This record gives sequence, C-alpha cells and structure tokens, in this order.
Amino acid sequence: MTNLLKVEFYKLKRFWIGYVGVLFMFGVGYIYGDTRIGNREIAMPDHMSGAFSATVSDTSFVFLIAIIAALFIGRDFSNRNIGNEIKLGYSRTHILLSRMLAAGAFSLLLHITYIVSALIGFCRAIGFDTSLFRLGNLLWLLTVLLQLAAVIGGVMLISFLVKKMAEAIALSALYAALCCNILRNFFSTKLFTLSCFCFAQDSDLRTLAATAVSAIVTLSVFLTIAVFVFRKAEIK
Amino acid sequence: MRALRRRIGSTIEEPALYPDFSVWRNLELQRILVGNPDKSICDELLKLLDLSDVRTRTVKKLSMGMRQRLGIAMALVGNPEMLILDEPVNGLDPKNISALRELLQKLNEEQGITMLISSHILKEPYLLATDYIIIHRGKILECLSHEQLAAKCENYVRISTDDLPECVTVLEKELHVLNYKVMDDRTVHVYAFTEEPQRISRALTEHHIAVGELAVQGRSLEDYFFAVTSGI
Repeated sequence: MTNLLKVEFYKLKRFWIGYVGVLFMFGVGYIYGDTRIGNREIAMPDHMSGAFSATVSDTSFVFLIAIIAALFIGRDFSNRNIGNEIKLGYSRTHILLSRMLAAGAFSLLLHITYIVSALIGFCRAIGFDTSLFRLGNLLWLLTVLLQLAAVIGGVMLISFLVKKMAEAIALSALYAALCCNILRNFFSTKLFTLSCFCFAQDSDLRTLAATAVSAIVTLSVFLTIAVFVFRKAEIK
Repeated sequence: MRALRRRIGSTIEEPALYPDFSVWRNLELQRILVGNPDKSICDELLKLLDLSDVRTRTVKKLSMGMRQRLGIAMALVGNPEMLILDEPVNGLDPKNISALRELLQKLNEEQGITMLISSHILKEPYLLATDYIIIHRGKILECLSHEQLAAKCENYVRISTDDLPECVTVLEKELHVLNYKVMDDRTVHVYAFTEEPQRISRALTEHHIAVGELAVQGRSLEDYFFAVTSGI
C-alpha cells in the first residue's frame, strides 16, 4: 500500500491539469472574496468569519473538482496502468484506496484553495480581522471536507464502474452538478440538508456532528460498492 | 503469492505506459511500484535497452519498437528471475525483431533470466527458445526441446536401398557425412546435401549401389504445427 501511495502522489505532483485547477480555484475564489472587483454590491459580511461562512459551504465548483478527480482516476483505466498493479500482486482494495486517498486529498486541496483565496480577496477589500479563528469554524471546515470526500467517493465509484476516462469525467460532472447544485433547489428536507451533497450551512455542533456521520456513512457505502465492483471486474 | 509475483516480470502485448510521462519517468514509477530502492537501475536499464537517447521523450512520441523495449525495461526493473512475454514482436519491423531477439538472448545468457514467450509467429521462438510448448484451444499438446523440434522439422534426403552397409560406408568415406540415421524401415535419412541430393545419388551410383528411392523430404515448422494441432 505504501508503494501504491507513493506512486499516486508522484503522479499527482506531475498532474498539470490539477495545477490548472488550483489556479482556477484561486482565481475565482479571490474574485469572489474581493468585492471591489467589478464594483459588486453583494451582501458580503464585514468580517472574515462571515466571508468564511459564505465560501466554506459553497458547492458551486464541486462539479469541477469532480471532473478533475475523475480525470486523475479514469486515465489509469484508459492507459491500462491499473493492470500493472494487479499483475504485481497488489490487492484491488489497496489499489482503489490509494487512488481514493490521492484524489480525495487533491479535491480537498482545491476546495481549501477556493476558501483561502476568497479570504485573501476579502482581506484586500475589507481588511483582516481575527473573527475567523474560532474552533467552531475549524470543525465546520473539517466537516465540509469530510462531505467533499464523500462526494469524491461517488466519483470513485463511477470511475471504477465505467472504467473509461471520458465516460468517468462526463458522468462524474453530471453526478456532482445534479446532486450538489441542482437538487438542492428542489429538496429542502432534513435528509438532504444533512447529506454530503449539501455542505454544512452553519457551525452548530449538533448539525456538524450529524452531517459528519452522514458523510462517513455515505463515503463508506460508496467505497464498499466500488471495492465490490472492482473485485468482480475484468481488468486488461 | 504477492512475494512470488514480485519475482516475475511480464509484458503482455502492448505495454501499459503513461503516455504523457517520459521514458525515464515511466521506468521510475515502475521502480517505485515494485519497491526497488536502487535508484540507478532506471538509467542502467535504459542503457541496456538502448533507450538512453530517448530518456526524456514522452511515451506517446515513441515508436512501437521503443515502446516494446520500454515495456521490457519495466518488466526488468524489479530484478525478476523470470520474464513472461506475450507476443513481444507484435507490430515490430524486422530490424526491431532482430534487435529484440538479441536482447532477450543477452538477458538470458548474462543475467540468467528464465523466459516464457508466447507467440503466434512460429519462426521467432524457433530462433530463440530452448524448449517449446505447443498449446491449442487451451490444452498443451506437446512439450519438446529445440533439438527434438529441429529433428521433426528438418529436411533430409531419404535413401531406400537393399545394401545398407555399403551405402553407409559411401556416405562416411566418400561424402564425409556423419549426420545421418538408419531408420527401422531400412532407409537412411541423411541430414546433409539436402540442396544437392544428386551428389549422393552420383556417389552411390559410382559404387554400384542400387537405390530404390532417393528424395528430399521433411516439413516446415508450420506444417509440423498444423499436424500437431489437427491431431495428425
């Protein structure tokens, strides 16, 4: 498993599309945070904690994160590189988990980049203050990252089901856009608001705890099904 | 089982490579994957497989022959004791086929690597292997050594005569042929002068040996393969 992780992170360091994604997320986050750009009159709070609240639960770019994750995972199927690892005797569960850890870590990095760049932009527009640095905000961030990981778990499942890069990207984009951006406009049930597709909206500890549990369960279900599918699959 | 698999290197048909990574980086990734701590092995293998000049070239810009060689390099990066090659010459031109054959012979002779090569092109393994397994529809039909296969496929001059001792004497003393066999059906199979059987005929006639039949016989490798696989 160690060698598998080394390989995945080695590939990740040289994943130039990922760097483009980071730059993009930085750019859009900064523009969003710096309300001076475009002379926008948006209802932005006047303190950093408020700016943090506006961005941490923002699912606008989850579909892009899903595309990048699907690209990273799917190309190994299209290039038949996964077969190399199976030939060497690595367990399929480890092969899947190593990719989940790498793609998941990068996905979290993209969302964190968005939040941080928005805060930087906000600082430039409004100014810096220490309201951001509360334990509640940290727990909120960690819970959202857990939810994002669960969403990426769904991307993993899709990628390991279709086993082709182009299809994985298309379906993952559709899945993320539908679940994280479209369905929220139609569902306001408690179940949906607690799901991984609706990032936690406040730092209330009970909400965060329930949301975190929901995310962990969803992630576990996605990964379990993905492992089952992968074990049965014929890989050339 | 995993430990055993690490002792085997393999390349199945076209090797699975990272097309956007360079030759060296593909090898380096494989080195990390097999857990070989020796970082110098990549450069050594590139030199061995004559890929040093294209070290930094991305895989998608490589020719088929170079990709095959890179695939073999990746199979070797774990210092395997055995190499399994499935259709290693597929898509290669004659020059690359010859180069690959020499490389495999060198690996076997210098590094003592055992190789299992599967191929539909009969001539290639015939020029390389020491032992053969003929498989048809998933079943092993025959196992034989190179010498046995050669004997079954070699051309020979078949001589049918009543005067066997004299015939053999002429072959040895006049024609200096030692490569012959006296068969149970009282014929002689001579594995020489297959291109010039008339020399044998002339020698036997000069010594007044009555020859009932003199003909060049034998079968090609393909003929033998078809015969075995069709149950003849």
